[in-house]
Amino acid sequence: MTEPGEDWRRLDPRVIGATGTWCALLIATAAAIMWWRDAPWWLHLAVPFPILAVAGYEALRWIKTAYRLTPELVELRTGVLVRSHRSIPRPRVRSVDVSANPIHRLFGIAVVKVGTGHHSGSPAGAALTLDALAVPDADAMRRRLIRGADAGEQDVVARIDWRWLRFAPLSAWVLLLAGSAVGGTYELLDILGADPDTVLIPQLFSWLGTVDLLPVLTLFALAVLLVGIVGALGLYVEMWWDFRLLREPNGALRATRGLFVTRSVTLEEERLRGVEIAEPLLLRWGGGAYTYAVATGTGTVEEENSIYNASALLPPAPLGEAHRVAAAVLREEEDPTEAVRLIPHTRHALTRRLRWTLVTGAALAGLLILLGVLLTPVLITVGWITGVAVCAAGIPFSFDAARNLGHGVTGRYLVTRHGTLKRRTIALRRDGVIGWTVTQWAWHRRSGLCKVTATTAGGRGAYHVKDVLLPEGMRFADESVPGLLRQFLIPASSQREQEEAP
Amino acid sequence: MAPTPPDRHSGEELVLRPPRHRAERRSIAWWTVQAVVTVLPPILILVLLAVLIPPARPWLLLSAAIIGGPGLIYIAVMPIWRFRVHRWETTGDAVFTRAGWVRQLWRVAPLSRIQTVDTVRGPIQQMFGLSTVVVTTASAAGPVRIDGLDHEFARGLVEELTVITQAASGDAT
Repeated sequence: MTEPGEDWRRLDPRVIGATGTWCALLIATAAAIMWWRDAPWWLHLAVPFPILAVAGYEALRWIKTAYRLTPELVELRTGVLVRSHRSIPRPRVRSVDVSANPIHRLFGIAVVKVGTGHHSGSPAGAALTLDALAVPDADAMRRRLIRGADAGEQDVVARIDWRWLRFAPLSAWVLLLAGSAVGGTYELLDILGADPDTVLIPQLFSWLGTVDLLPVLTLFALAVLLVGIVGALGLYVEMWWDFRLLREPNGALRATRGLFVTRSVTLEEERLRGVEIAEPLLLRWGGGAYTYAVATGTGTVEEENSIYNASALLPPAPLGEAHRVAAAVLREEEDPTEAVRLIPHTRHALTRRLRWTLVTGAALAGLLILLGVLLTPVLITVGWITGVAVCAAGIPFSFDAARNLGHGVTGRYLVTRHGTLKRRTIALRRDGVIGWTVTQWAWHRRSGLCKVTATTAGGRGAYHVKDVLLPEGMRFADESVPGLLRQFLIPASSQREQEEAP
Repeated sequence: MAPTPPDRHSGEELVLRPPRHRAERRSIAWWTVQAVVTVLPPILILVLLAVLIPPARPWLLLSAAIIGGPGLIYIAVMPIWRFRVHRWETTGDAVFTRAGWVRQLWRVAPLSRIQTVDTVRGPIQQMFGLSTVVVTTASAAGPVRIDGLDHEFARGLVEELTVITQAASGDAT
């Protein structure tokens, strides 16, 4: 590959067609609905104008946008009304993310996002987006920006195994998709003019009055659940189609995936700070886990809650596979989250969780019973049932959460585990720790219960050892990063006199 | 490599000591003014509405009392408590702070990992000639803040820390 000249280049002009098509599809759908709802003729006449406007704006944006790659910088000039000129020094480039939705693919173009992996401001603010380039150009861009990516062989670290599809129904997506299917049906009926509020729902209720409720509602719940499961399976297939995790010759990791929307994320090895094995409750019961990289510039809290998490190293997969891939990614013999001997936390952690459960249950019950005494006796019954239910649900979770707590040091990594609804086990490079935070509530002074947080430049930026006793937390922090904390430590017996000193 | 379990019998347990320096004493006044400015406006608005709208008077006064009670305790307790907690210290290789009141935070940031050092002065802080030194690292966990320093002193501290951190190489991640 020859290094390109330092001249400014335009985006691929097909982006105008792609955006125009996207807009045309939307407008065509709207026109179909208008035709169905017998809209006046002049509304139909208006149909071409938004499409022309969008295509015109895209054309203007295409004219006004230019990018170039110099030996030192990646630069982008853009903006129709507000002009911007963004440049990123090439040594700072840490990630290149190439994605294409179905329309992009139809037109043979792809969107390239260049990330610097720095947390300052929003993750979006740190990136430079080229929307869009021809697919070969996008690929060349990726290979030029990630140094040495095109020399030598790629190793396949992991690829999708469709037996893992069994993990798809074990996710919160089932409920989310089932809920949105119900909501979507309602919206569709509303748009099509079937008047669900005034006609269909009253009809439904009067029909429910004539039938045996229990079997009907059970069947309905099962049907909705089935829709959710089918949706979750479909989503899994869409997201993880042709998933491959590759090790580039220069050590960078590249994950490619997607059926309709394709996506390829490249992480430079020097960004890697560790791995996280996340096990949401259902997935944990099914023996599966998510595997994430802890790397600078990805895996932020917002990103984790979205569908596309750029730090995902594997689809939901068997725990053994997760450990194997984590070890391979870190170039270790064994995954540190598996190799570590986790030190369990003391009973204080359990006591604290049980106390929280009981206080929450009692407070809810108390409030409802108080309102019941003042207003209506029904609330008294609701009140104590709520209290009992909260405690009954909370106590097993408290035990599980306390049992899941643990921390330890192994080789180059510190490991911490916490959570019950989503148990996370994080292995963080000890040399990636860029500070410590210790948090303690005033009423935990005597027991010494605190939270020790390792801060790092990667992932969520802060990884906690929750509900640990201060001396044990300090021993752990001092062992993880020798030399940093020791100067601020004193024997527990002399703590009081130190506090009184000026 | 398996970690050695904590040995509670050999050697004594170590805990964090308080950092060496306190905030300026006039920080108490700053925190008090800040608390008053936070708590008073909603109470005043509720009382004003109570005066203007006689039918809703008992409910508005009740709301004012519900906010006002804890608010007054906050004004009375927080500043002194905060002053007792807030401490800071810099050593040859780290910044060490303790902050908060009911919830206390100790923070340690190695100088080699510091990205920027700035001072921030809010309007009320300026009235008292105080400054906050903000030390940012590459972590999303937020900057380390040293509150309640004398303004001139803070400027000197920032210069000193900037010189030290500039000497460290790399991009501090």
